[in-house]
Amino acid sequence: MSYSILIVDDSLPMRSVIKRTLNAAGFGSSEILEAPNGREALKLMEGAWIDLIMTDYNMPEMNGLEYIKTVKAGEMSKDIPVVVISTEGNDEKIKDFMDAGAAGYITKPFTAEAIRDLVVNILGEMDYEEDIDDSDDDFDF
Amino acid sequence: MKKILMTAMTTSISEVMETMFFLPVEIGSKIIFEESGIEKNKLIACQLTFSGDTSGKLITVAPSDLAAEMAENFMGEAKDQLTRDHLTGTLTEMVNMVCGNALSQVKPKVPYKLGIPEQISFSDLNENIDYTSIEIIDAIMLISLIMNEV
Repeated sequence: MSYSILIVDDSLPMRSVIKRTLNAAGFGSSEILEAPNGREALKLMEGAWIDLIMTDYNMPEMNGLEYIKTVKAGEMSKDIPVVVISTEGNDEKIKDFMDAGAAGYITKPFTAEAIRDLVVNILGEMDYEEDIDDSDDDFDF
Repeated sequence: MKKILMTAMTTSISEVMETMFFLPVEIGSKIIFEESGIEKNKLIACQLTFSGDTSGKLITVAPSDLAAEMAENFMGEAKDQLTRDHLTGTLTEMVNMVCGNALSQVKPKVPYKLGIPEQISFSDLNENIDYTSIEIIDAIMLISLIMNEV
Protein backbone atom coordinates (compact mmCIF):
# COMPACT_ATOMS: atom_id res chain seq x y z
CA MET A 1 0.00 0.00 0.00
CA SER A 2 1.20 3.52 -0.76
CA TYR A 3 1.35 6.14 1.97
CA SER A 4 2.24 9.77 2.33
CA ILE A 5 5.08 10.13 4.84
CA LEU A 6 6.49 13.44 6.07
CA ILE A 7 10.12 13.51 7.26
CA VAL A 8 11.04 16.52 9.41
CA ASP A 9 14.76 16.93 10.09
CA ASP A 10 17.15 19.85 9.66
CA SER A 11 19.85 17.51 8.40
CA LEU A 12 19.64 16.92 4.65
CA PRO A 13 21.81 13.77 4.87
CA MET A 14 19.60 12.38 7.66
CA ARG A 15 16.41 13.00 5.64
CA SER A 16 18.09 11.17 2.78
CA VAL A 17 19.01 8.22 5.02
CA ILE A 18 15.48 7.92 6.43
CA LYS A 19 14.05 8.07 2.90
CA ARG A 20 16.45 5.36 1.75
CA THR A 21 15.57 3.24 4.78
CA LEU A 22 11.85 3.58 4.04
CA ASN A 23 12.50 2.50 0.45
CA ALA A 24 14.43 -0.54 1.66
CA ALA A 25 11.66 -1.33 4.15
CA GLY A 26 9.10 -1.66 1.37
CA PHE A 27 7.67 1.85 1.35
CA GLY A 28 9.28 2.81 -1.96
CA SER A 29 5.95 3.54 -3.60
CA SER A 30 5.00 5.97 -0.84
CA GLU A 31 5.07 9.71 -1.35
CA ILE A 32 7.85 11.14 0.81
CA LEU A 33 7.60 14.79 1.81
CA GLU A 34 10.46 16.63 3.55
CA ALA A 35 10.79 19.67 5.79
CA PRO A 36 13.83 21.09 7.63
CA ASN A 37 11.98 22.09 10.83
CA GLY A 38 8.59 22.07 12.51
CA ARG A 39 7.50 25.43 11.17
CA GLU A 40 8.16 24.47 7.54
CA ALA A 41 6.49 21.11 8.15
CA LEU A 42 3.30 22.80 9.35
CA LYS A 43 3.23 24.94 6.19
CA LEU A 44 3.75 21.84 4.04
CA MET A 45 0.92 20.02 5.82
CA GLU A 46 -1.66 22.65 4.84
CA GLY A 47 -3.93 20.91 2.37
CA ALA A 48 -1.76 17.81 2.17
CA TRP A 49 -2.80 14.31 3.19
CA ILE A 50 -0.23 12.81 5.58
CA ASP A 51 -0.34 9.23 6.89
CA LEU A 52 2.74 9.37 9.09
CA ILE A 53 5.17 12.00 10.39
CA MET A 54 8.75 11.14 11.31
CA THR A 55 10.40 14.03 13.12
CA ASP A 56 13.72 14.91 14.70
CA TYR A 57 13.75 16.80 18.01
CA ASN A 58 16.73 19.12 17.88
CA MET A 59 15.92 21.55 15.06
CA PRO A 60 16.11 25.32 14.61
CA GLU A 61 12.95 27.45 14.22
CA MET A 62 10.59 24.94 15.87
CA ASN A 63 11.86 21.85 17.66
CA GLY A 64 10.26 18.43 17.50
CA LEU A 65 8.40 18.68 20.79
CA GLU A 66 6.78 22.02 19.93
CA TYR A 67 5.94 20.60 16.52
CA ILE A 68 4.23 17.48 17.95
CA LYS A 69 2.20 19.61 20.37
CA THR A 70 1.05 21.83 17.49
CA VAL A 71 0.16 18.84 15.32
CA LYS A 72 -1.79 17.20 18.14
CA ALA A 73 -3.64 20.46 18.88
CA GLY A 74 -4.86 20.76 15.29
CA GLU A 75 -8.34 19.40 14.52
CA MET A 76 -7.23 18.21 11.07
CA SER A 77 -3.86 16.81 12.15
CA LYS A 78 -4.40 15.41 15.64
CA ASP A 79 -4.88 11.83 14.43
CA ILE A 80 -1.72 11.69 12.31
CA PRO A 81 0.74 9.34 14.04
CA VAL A 82 4.08 10.98 14.83
CA VAL A 83 7.31 9.07 15.32
CA VAL A 84 10.30 10.82 16.88
CA ILE A 85 13.76 9.96 15.53
CA SER A 86 16.31 11.68 17.71
CA THR A 87 19.67 11.47 19.42
CA GLU A 88 17.94 12.53 22.64
CA GLY A 89 17.62 9.23 24.46
CA ASN A 90 17.14 10.83 27.87
CA ASP A 91 14.30 9.18 29.84
CA GLU A 92 12.63 12.47 30.68
CA LYS A 93 12.74 13.70 27.09
CA ILE A 94 11.25 10.45 25.77
CA LYS A 95 8.45 10.80 28.34
CA ASP A 96 7.85 14.36 27.12
CA PHE A 97 7.50 13.09 23.53
CA MET A 98 5.11 10.32 24.49
CA ASP A 99 3.07 12.63 26.75
CA ALA A 100 2.77 15.06 23.84
CA GLY A 101 1.21 12.31 21.75
CA ALA A 102 4.09 10.65 19.88
CA ALA A 103 3.24 7.17 18.62
CA GLY A 104 6.79 5.92 18.89
CA TYR A 105 10.41 6.78 19.42
CA ILE A 106 13.63 5.71 17.71
CA THR A 107 17.05 6.70 18.98
CA LYS A 108 19.84 7.65 16.56
CA PRO A 109 21.91 5.76 15.60
CA PHE A 110 19.21 3.42 14.35
CA THR A 111 19.05 0.29 12.28
CA ALA A 112 16.89 -0.12 9.19
CA GLU A 113 15.03 -2.86 11.06
CA ALA A 114 14.08 -0.49 13.89
CA ILE A 115 12.55 1.96 11.40
CA ARG A 116 10.78 -0.76 9.44
CA ASP A 117 9.32 -2.47 12.52
CA LEU A 118 7.94 0.74 13.98
CA VAL A 119 6.53 2.07 10.71
CA VAL A 120 4.95 -1.26 9.78
CA ASN A 121 3.50 -1.51 13.25
CA ILE A 122 1.93 1.97 13.08
CA LEU A 123 0.73 1.90 9.47
CA GLY A 124 -0.44 -1.67 9.95
CA GLU A 125 -2.56 -0.54 12.86
CA MET A 126 -3.94 2.24 10.69
CA ASP A 127 -4.97 -0.30 8.03
CA TYR A 128 -6.70 -2.33 10.70
CA GLU A 129 -8.61 0.68 11.98
CA GLU A 130 -9.57 1.68 8.43
CA ASP A 131 -10.98 -1.82 7.90
CA ILE A 132 -13.17 -1.36 10.96
CA ASP A 133 -14.26 2.09 9.77
CA ASP A 134 -15.00 0.75 6.28
CA SER A 135 -17.57 -1.62 7.72
CA ASP A 136 -19.29 1.25 9.51
CA ASP A 137 -22.11 2.93 7.58
CA ASP A 138 -21.38 6.23 9.31
CA PHE A 139 -18.00 6.47 7.57
CA ASP A 140 -18.00 9.20 4.98
CA PHE A 141 -15.85 11.99 3.55
CA MET B 1 33.45 13.62 34.90
CA LYS B 2 35.35 14.53 31.75
CA LYS B 3 37.02 11.12 31.66
CA ILE B 4 33.69 9.28 32.01
CA LEU B 5 32.08 11.42 29.34
CA MET B 6 35.05 11.06 26.98
CA THR B 7 34.94 7.27 27.35
CA ALA B 8 31.23 7.39 26.52
CA MET B 9 31.96 9.62 23.50
CA THR B 10 34.57 7.23 22.08
CA THR B 11 32.29 4.21 22.67
CA SER B 12 29.50 6.12 21.00
CA ILE B 13 31.70 6.99 18.00
CA SER B 14 32.38 3.30 17.42
CA GLU B 15 28.66 2.52 17.55
CA VAL B 16 27.61 5.42 15.33
CA MET B 17 30.36 4.87 12.74
CA GLU B 18 29.63 1.18 12.45
CA THR B 19 25.81 1.41 12.54
CA MET B 20 25.24 4.46 10.34
CA PHE B 21 28.42 4.80 8.27
CA PHE B 22 29.52 1.15 7.98
CA LEU B 23 33.08 2.09 8.91
CA PRO B 24 35.01 0.27 11.64
CA VAL B 25 37.05 2.55 13.88
CA GLU B 26 39.92 2.26 16.31
CA ILE B 27 40.41 4.73 19.09
CA GLY B 28 43.96 6.07 18.89
CA SER B 29 46.13 8.20 21.13
CA LYS B 30 45.97 11.79 22.30
CA ILE B 31 47.61 14.14 19.81
CA ILE B 32 47.69 17.79 18.86
CA PHE B 33 46.45 18.94 15.47
CA GLU B 34 49.91 19.23 13.88
CA GLU B 35 50.61 15.55 14.58
CA SER B 36 47.50 14.38 12.76
CA GLY B 37 48.73 14.95 9.20
CA ILE B 38 45.38 16.53 8.29
CA GLU B 39 45.85 19.31 5.76
CA LYS B 40 44.46 22.62 6.99
CA ASN B 41 42.92 23.49 3.62
CA LYS B 42 41.32 20.07 3.16
CA LEU B 43 39.37 19.57 6.36
CA ILE B 44 35.87 19.91 7.69
CA ALA B 45 35.38 20.80 11.34
CA CYS B 46 32.25 21.14 13.42
CA GLN B 47 31.20 21.54 17.00
CA LEU B 48 28.20 20.86 19.19
CA THR B 49 27.58 22.47 22.54
CA PHE B 50 25.70 20.77 25.36
CA SER B 51 24.48 21.93 28.73
CA GLY B 52 22.92 20.41 31.81
CA ASP B 53 24.54 19.49 35.08
CA THR B 54 27.73 19.35 33.01
CA SER B 55 28.28 21.51 29.98
CA GLY B 56 30.83 21.92 27.23
CA LYS B 57 31.31 21.15 23.57
CA LEU B 58 32.46 18.36 21.30
CA ILE B 59 34.70 19.34 18.40
CA THR B 60 35.34 17.06 15.45
CA VAL B 61 37.87 17.55 12.65
CA ALA B 62 37.98 15.28 9.61
CA PRO B 63 39.82 15.39 6.30
CA SER B 64 37.44 16.16 3.40
CA ASP B 65 38.18 12.79 1.77
CA LEU B 66 37.05 10.95 4.90
CA ALA B 67 33.93 13.12 5.16
CA ALA B 68 33.17 12.20 1.53
CA GLU B 69 33.61 8.50 2.32
CA MET B 70 31.27 8.86 5.30
CA ALA B 71 28.68 10.79 3.27
CA GLU B 72 28.80 8.21 0.47
CA ASN B 73 28.11 5.38 2.91
CA PHE B 74 25.57 7.35 4.92
CA MET B 75 23.49 8.73 2.07
CA GLY B 76 24.04 6.01 -0.50
CA GLU B 77 25.09 8.59 -3.08
CA ALA B 78 28.16 8.37 -5.31
CA LYS B 79 30.97 10.69 -4.24
CA ASP B 80 30.79 12.71 -7.46
CA GLN B 81 27.16 13.55 -6.66
CA LEU B 82 27.99 14.97 -3.23
CA THR B 83 28.32 18.67 -2.52
CA ARG B 84 30.24 20.40 0.26
CA ASP B 85 26.90 20.81 2.10
CA HIS B 86 26.41 17.04 2.04
CA LEU B 87 29.86 16.49 3.59
CA THR B 88 29.33 19.15 6.24
CA GLY B 89 25.81 17.90 6.98
CA THR B 90 27.09 14.36 7.36
CA LEU B 91 29.80 15.35 9.82
CA THR B 92 27.50 17.57 11.88
CA GLU B 93 24.93 14.77 12.04
CA MET B 94 27.62 12.35 13.16
CA VAL B 95 28.63 14.71 15.99
CA ASN B 96 24.97 15.13 16.94
CA MET B 97 24.45 11.37 17.18
CA VAL B 98 27.69 10.77 19.09
CA CYS B 99 27.09 13.50 21.64
CA GLY B 100 23.41 12.73 22.23
CA ASN B 101 24.09 9.03 22.49
CA ALA B 102 26.96 9.49 24.94
CA LEU B 103 25.10 11.92 27.21
CA SER B 104 22.07 9.62 27.30
CA GLN B 105 24.23 6.69 28.31
CA VAL B 106 26.18 8.52 31.02
CA LYS B 107 23.18 10.22 32.63
CA PRO B 108 19.93 8.75 31.29
CA LYS B 109 17.80 10.33 34.01
CA VAL B 110 19.39 13.77 34.00
CA PRO B 111 18.02 16.27 31.47
CA TYR B 112 20.48 18.00 29.18
CA LYS B 113 20.22 20.34 26.23
CA LEU B 114 22.03 19.88 22.94
CA GLY B 115 22.78 22.87 20.74
CA ILE B 116 22.50 22.82 16.97
CA PRO B 117 25.66 21.27 15.47
CA GLU B 118 27.56 23.83 13.40
CA GLN B 119 30.45 23.94 11.01
CA ILE B 120 33.51 25.86 12.19
CA SER B 121 36.53 27.05 10.24
CA PHE B 122 40.12 26.12 10.89
CA SER B 123 40.79 29.55 12.35
CA ASP B 124 38.20 28.81 15.05
CA LEU B 125 40.25 25.85 16.22
CA ASN B 126 42.81 26.15 18.96
CA GLU B 127 45.77 24.24 17.59
CA ASN B 128 47.10 23.46 21.04
CA ILE B 129 44.11 21.61 22.42
CA ASP B 130 44.37 17.87 22.92
CA TYR B 131 42.52 15.70 20.46
CA THR B 132 41.84 12.00 20.53
CA SER B 133 42.61 10.42 17.19
CA ILE B 134 40.03 8.11 15.67
CA GLU B 135 41.55 5.79 13.10
CA ILE B 136 39.19 4.90 10.27
CA ILE B 137 40.65 2.58 7.62
CA ASP B 138 43.56 4.66 6.29
CA ALA B 139 42.47 8.04 7.63
CA ILE B 140 42.36 9.86 10.95
CA MET B 141 39.58 11.95 12.44
CA LEU B 142 40.05 14.07 15.56
CA ILE B 143 37.69 14.69 18.44
CA SER B 144 38.08 16.92 21.43
CA LEU B 145 35.81 17.27 24.43
CA ILE B 146 36.01 20.67 26.08
CA MET B 147 34.20 21.01 29.39
CA ASN B 148 33.09 24.39 30.74
CA GLU B 149 34.51 25.26 34.11
CA VAL B 150 31.92 25.54 36.88
